[in-house]
Amino acid sequence: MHFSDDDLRSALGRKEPSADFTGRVMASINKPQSSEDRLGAVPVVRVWWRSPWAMASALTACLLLVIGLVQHHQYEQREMETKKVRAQAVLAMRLTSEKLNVALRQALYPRRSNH
Amino acid sequence: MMKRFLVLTIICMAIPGLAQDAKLNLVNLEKLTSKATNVTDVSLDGPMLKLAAQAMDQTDKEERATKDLISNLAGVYVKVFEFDKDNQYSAQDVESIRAQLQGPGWSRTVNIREEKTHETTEVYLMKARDGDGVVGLAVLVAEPRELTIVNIVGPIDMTKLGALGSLGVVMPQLKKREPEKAAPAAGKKQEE
Repeated sequence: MHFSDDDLRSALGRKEPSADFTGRVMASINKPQSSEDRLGAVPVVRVWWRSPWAMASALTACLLLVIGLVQHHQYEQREMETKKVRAQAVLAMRLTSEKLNVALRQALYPRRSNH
Repeated sequence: MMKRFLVLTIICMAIPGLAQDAKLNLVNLEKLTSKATNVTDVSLDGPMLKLAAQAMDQTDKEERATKDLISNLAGVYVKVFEFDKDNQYSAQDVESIRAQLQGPGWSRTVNIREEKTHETTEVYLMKARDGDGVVGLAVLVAEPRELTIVNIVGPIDMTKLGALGSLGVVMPQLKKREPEKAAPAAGKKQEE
């Protein structure tokens, strides 16, 4: 296809807008936008943690965590208490046995006892 | 109506007094804690002893023996005061314990006084009302730099208790040899 200079000149030459062009543009601007147009224009970001179910789940998880931690702490305290009591019982019985045996040894074998 | 209530109240108040209580009051010894360089204080009542018994390691020989001993006890109270100087406790401190052991039910089984070392060792037993078995034990050892009080409340198997130490079966031997023990040894006064 060949273009002549005249063709190019007419194609690229200045063209005046039609008389109603300004009116149409202003009408388009003033026209109220529909909801679909708005959604299309500004995409809405759905924040998942703002949903009521997510909030409830998070709260439940936090609550369970706190309960778990408290129970674990109580369990550890009980374990420590039990260990302490066990050690005390063993110590008490050992001391009792020692003292009793020393006394009985002295009573039974007074001459042989060097205590 | 009023008379009945009064009689009932008096009976209720008298019952605890009639009951044999092998638990000693050791509160007056608390003051020695500040003077002592080393204090061993074990105070375990019935529920605590049951807890300890449940927690005992069955594979450990000593703990197994301890479990057998403490399972039925109502209390174990041990106080050992160690001092760095002589005479840090008074005779009154010991006497306050000894006075309680003069109460009904208690009988002194062993009393050893060593003149040289100024040591006193006393063993008291509280026998059951039916005369069968021991329901209370108290050991009082007073040395110049050490005071030991052991108080066990509840049914005690003396053979098992002795078995914890080195002289396992000493208690039955003691019973058999009771007459011999009356003879005092040189440097020692012994009472049975």
